[in-house]
Amino acid sequence: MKRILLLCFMLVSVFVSEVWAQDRVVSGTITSTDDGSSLPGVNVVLKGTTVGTITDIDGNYKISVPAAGGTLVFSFIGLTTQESEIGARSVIDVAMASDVKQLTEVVVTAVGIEREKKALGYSVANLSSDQVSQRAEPDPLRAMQGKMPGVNITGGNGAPGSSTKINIRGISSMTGNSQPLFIVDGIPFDNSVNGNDDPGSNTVTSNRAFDIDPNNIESISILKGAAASALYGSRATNGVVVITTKASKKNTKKGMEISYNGSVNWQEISGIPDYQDVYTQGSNQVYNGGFIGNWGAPMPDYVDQINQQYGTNYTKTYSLYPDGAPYPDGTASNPISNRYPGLFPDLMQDYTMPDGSVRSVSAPYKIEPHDIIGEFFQTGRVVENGVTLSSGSEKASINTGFSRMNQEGIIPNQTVDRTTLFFGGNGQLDNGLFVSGTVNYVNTNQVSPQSGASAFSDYYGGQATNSIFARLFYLPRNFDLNGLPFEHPVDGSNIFYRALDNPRWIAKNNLYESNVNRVYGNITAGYDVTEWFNVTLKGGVNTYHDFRRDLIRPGGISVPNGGVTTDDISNTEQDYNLIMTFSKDINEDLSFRALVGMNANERKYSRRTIGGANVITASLLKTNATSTQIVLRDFDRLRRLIGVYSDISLSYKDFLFLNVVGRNDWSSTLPQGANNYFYPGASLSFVLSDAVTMPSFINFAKLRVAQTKVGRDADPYQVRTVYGLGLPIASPRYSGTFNTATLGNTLGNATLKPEFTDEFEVGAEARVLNNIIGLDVTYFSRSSTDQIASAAVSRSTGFTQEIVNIGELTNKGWEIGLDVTPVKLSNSFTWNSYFAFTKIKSEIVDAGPSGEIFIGGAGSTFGTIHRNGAPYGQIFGTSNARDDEGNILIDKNTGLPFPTQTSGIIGDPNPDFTLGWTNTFSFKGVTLKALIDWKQGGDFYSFTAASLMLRGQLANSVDREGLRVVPGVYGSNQTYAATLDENGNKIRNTTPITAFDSHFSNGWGAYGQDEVNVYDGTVIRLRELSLGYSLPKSILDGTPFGRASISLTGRNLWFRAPNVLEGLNLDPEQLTATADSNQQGFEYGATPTTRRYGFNVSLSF
Amino acid sequence: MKKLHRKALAAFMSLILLFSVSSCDIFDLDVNTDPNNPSQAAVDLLLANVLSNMSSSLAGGFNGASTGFMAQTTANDDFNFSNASWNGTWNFLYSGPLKDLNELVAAAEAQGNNPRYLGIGQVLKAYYFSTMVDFFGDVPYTEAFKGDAETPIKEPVYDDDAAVYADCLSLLDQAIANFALTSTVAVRGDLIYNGNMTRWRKLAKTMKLRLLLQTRNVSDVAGQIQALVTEGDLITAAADDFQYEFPTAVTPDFRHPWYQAAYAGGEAGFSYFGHQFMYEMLVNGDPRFPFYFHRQTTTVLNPDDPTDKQTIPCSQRTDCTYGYFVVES
Repeated sequence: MKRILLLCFMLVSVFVSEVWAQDRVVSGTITSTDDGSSLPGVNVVLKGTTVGTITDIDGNYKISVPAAGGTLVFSFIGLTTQESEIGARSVIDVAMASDVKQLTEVVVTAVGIEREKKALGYSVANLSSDQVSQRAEPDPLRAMQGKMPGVNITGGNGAPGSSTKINIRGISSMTGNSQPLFIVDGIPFDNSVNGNDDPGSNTVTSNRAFDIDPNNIESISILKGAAASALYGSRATNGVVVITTKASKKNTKKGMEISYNGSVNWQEISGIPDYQDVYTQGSNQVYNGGFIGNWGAPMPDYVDQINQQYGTNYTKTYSLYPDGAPYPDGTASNPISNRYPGLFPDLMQDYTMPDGSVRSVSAPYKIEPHDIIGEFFQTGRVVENGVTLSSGSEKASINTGFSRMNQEGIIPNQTVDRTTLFFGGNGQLDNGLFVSGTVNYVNTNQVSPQSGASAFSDYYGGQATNSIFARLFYLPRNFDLNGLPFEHPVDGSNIFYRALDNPRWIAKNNLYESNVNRVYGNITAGYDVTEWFNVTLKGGVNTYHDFRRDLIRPGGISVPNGGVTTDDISNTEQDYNLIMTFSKDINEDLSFRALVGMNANERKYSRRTIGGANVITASLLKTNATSTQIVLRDFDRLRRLIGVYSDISLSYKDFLFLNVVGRNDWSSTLPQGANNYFYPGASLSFVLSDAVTMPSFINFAKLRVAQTKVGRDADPYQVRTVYGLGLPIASPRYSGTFNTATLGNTLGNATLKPEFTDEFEVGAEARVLNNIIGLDVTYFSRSSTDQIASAAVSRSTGFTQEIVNIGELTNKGWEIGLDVTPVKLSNSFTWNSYFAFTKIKSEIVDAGPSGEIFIGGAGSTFGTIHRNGAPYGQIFGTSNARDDEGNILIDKNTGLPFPTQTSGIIGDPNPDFTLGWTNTFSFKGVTLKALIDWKQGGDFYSFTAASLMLRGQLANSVDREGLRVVPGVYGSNQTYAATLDENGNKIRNTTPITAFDSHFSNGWGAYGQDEVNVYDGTVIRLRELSLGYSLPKSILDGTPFGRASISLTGRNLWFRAPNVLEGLNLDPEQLTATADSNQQGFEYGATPTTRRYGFNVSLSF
Repeated sequence: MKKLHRKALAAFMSLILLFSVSSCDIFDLDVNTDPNNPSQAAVDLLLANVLSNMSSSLAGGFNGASTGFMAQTTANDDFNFSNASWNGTWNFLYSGPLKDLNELVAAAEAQGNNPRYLGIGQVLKAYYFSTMVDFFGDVPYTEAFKGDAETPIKEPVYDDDAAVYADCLSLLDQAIANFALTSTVAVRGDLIYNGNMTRWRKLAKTMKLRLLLQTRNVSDVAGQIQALVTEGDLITAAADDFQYEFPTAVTPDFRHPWYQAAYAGGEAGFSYFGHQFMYEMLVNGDPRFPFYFHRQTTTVLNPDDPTDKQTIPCSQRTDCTYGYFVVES
């Protein structure tokens, strides 16, 4: 019936316009004020009638109007509607401007509700496409670093694709997941790492948000607090990152736009330690070509100088021939042929013994320092290319595109590439039905040499001996890693100067590979049942499959027979929402909107791991080409959640806004019968500047306050205690294999309750002095209770852990966003400064019955701990014993300190504050942007510092001829008090020790107590620097390009960490483990961070 | 207008229907049963696990401490033991093999008419708990392993060691009685006797003799000892030995824990025989020598040759080198 009406309408219009057409015709061209380009698809309507038309592809229109009077209305979504009285004109050209107010003030909030920003009673951070794309950073999370207050983002390390941790308003879970929920195009987007919590294993594993190409992001909203995110339900405790991709862009300015973005960036290691090149490998000032440490004799070039200076009697002899005669001055026997006599004829020499016989011995090897690190690392590259095509009118639009990123790391064979295809469309039917949908396909491939963290081979026995980082950073200075052979010329097996895997051999042969295929998409259908009642149904699926392989070639040391492990991970998430919205203006002053929704969610995960041992031939690294295969894991996980939620908004006179939310969840992971929980919240926004007349210098002022609770369910399968099957045992005595089973060590909890986080936030926003200064301040205080944790239980109960609801954790903080435009000249020169400041203080109020939870780390009493009264995740380890005044106690006999009886907290890894400062200078088409990022505080234990110190690698350990005295007083390791002399005074330590003892031995140096290697991680860096130029319209006229710009980009070009060991040149931005771990405060030595520089080009047709 | 509304609503309802029909499972929340692990375990699986884990722990945890003098490990070599030295062993035993043994006995009892498994469980329980008492004195016993009981006990009390010993003796008597019953249930998962019930019976009686001998100074057990000897059903042949033989396969690695620690992997090995120990055995012509020392060579090793692992310094310490031993041919 409506259709018939519509048809009639149109017929009438045509008829009427035909009648009017006899009067006169007005024509014109519509252009954009932004760049002067013509605008197709603009609606042109004769005011007060249904007479209208739209502009053609060149922005031209023609409309019939009555002979006299009349007004034309020009409108297009995203542009300010304009009216123009026709008068006597027959040509009316109009330049339309972007509707800044409309574009900036509408934000996407929970479950896709678009809301005026001024109506929000809570803080939401927004980033637009140009703030994250073409930033020389293929990781979407790292591209956001430093740009939003309240959000801390830490990159894992410098390996391409390595994981990135993001914490919004602190960390709200002691042992559980601390990562926010990602919503991409309205559907949850799994951001798991699927790695191993153990820092000794792989350090390059990605978090799956890496599958989002930042260049395809249209906008990002970060829902920081509980008030903003509660409607998303159980996973919203840690905040929500809502990403809209270009696939679901709603409207486009032109009828059709094709744009291309391309960039090339080069990357190199961000810092190389200042190595010492004075002493050789060995110990106690004696050269030894088999050692790792650099405590040997001086290098030949320094022998004379040191002898002169210290009166020592070093010689330039480093090795002896079999008859006792010295090798030529300044040479030693070749370390490779020492281990593999005769294998490399070039490295051998014939030596005539005194009796005339000739023996083949290792050839002389020149003792000189080598730039091991500089030569090993290479210049990497990031290449990005992307094409997007969008076409739209007011009623419908489609978007499609393709992008590819290819990154080569700074280590050989360390790469990642990502290919994305997307398609999206939406349309508004005249009968009130709205339909939209998107599909994205992503293929991400990552390759890296085996990369367990370095600390674990030297300190913790074996776990990472197969890692490229096992000893790379502290190989002997005189060992020519990059010049000497690393593989067997015949069988390709490992060659190194001692029984370890050569880093070059690992880099060539032992690779980790991950191939991810991911598809996600959604369909939304909405219908306006009446003017005030809308029903919308959204559904979507997000699925990926990660196929991983770990290859270890036979012929190495740590795994002599090689191995191939395949790991198949798949994850599928379905999410459906049915949302009913009622909106009604009750009277002129009061309007009301209520939303009732229902959400059903299912997450299905499976992982199968097969370990193949004993590779049959090195030329085929496949699981079925190994002689033994074991299924290490066949794991499935399924969880479901049903939620019902409501969101009610009231607004009074457009300056007072009240928002009440509530959600009830039913979760499959909680005990049946007690699996539902409700959480409510309310927020208020008061726009002062609209309510009362403000002084003229205040353009906008708003106060807001919110109090909300969010509940969170458990991980699956924690309710019951289960048995576990063991690997079969082959008895040497009896035939057949013996299968085993054990009752699990973790006690399930049949009365498990959900976790809750309560949050209060209050904030103010203001813009003053003609919008020159804009300020947004938020204070929040959140308390997380009933934490679901696995707590230690008395072992004589038969169990090691029990699942419990324990404790309380609080996070309080300030978020300040300050936007200042100090200079804005009439010649278009503008300087804008944006400060994003975050200060969060966390406290473990109650860590359960024992008052502490040890999260784990390098050792059983050395790692990250939560302890009552202390901030989140402290560094726990040993310290030197001190007296009541803080003097270090020294053992009189050894001259060395000794440890306190028990370990304690030795550092706080949480930063005091972070500040991101973005400066934008623009002048005509030129834009210079610089993001300076300052993190104050945040201690970390540096294994790189420890390793390099104790191996005598650093320039600061060159002074090693004299004796030294550890500052402190004599004390007793029985009473832990200072020893007193006959007068009752403390005695200063005067027992000297050698440089070797100082650095290497247990006691004082890096090999001493854990506290010695804890550094303050304060760092200031130039995170981003870019210089862009947009070609003016005048140049582009006559070319097919609508827009063209080119920019030079730089990333992490400079950093300074003033309190980290001098000369280490280490970038403190590294994660302890992968992003899903709760461990923090340890730097284990993974791929160093990189600095990048390059350029990009963006064109649109 | 109305008609159209109805049409649209119908379309809407069918969408909802589509989504609910195709995935009606999504509303089923009863999916929290762990699909990866069994909720039940057969007694033979538990038995194999108990024997393997217990043997590893006795060989590794306990043995590591008692043979400190023969090994060059930090804590054991210099007898630098602390209250925490056996935490690991204790924790593992209670939450590992002892718990599974408790499960085994409980399951065999609950099944009824399963005297063989029950008897084996009782013998093992007597052996292991008497060993715990020998090592630690008072230990949690009557209230142990009740973390998952209907009324859970989270902090079990320590039982008097004499009472635990007495109960162990009673368990052995029960086991002997159980072994005398006929049963059609064949015993599997028995890594020690492979289900040979005669040997288990002999073990039960021999174990009883052992416990009696150990208590001879505190109570008069002469009569009971005499009775056992007279009966003569004791372990007398090597074939009857209560002996666990460690597997030799590399994967899965169930080799002797010390073998794994000392030899597996590049330079991971942490322990090596003490020089003094080797010297004493050599000069005294100890017949166990060739069985204890696997690494033997007939020539003097070159201490300057860094390719021989045995001559290089310990990888974690500067104050020792790996020992090496020379047997003159």
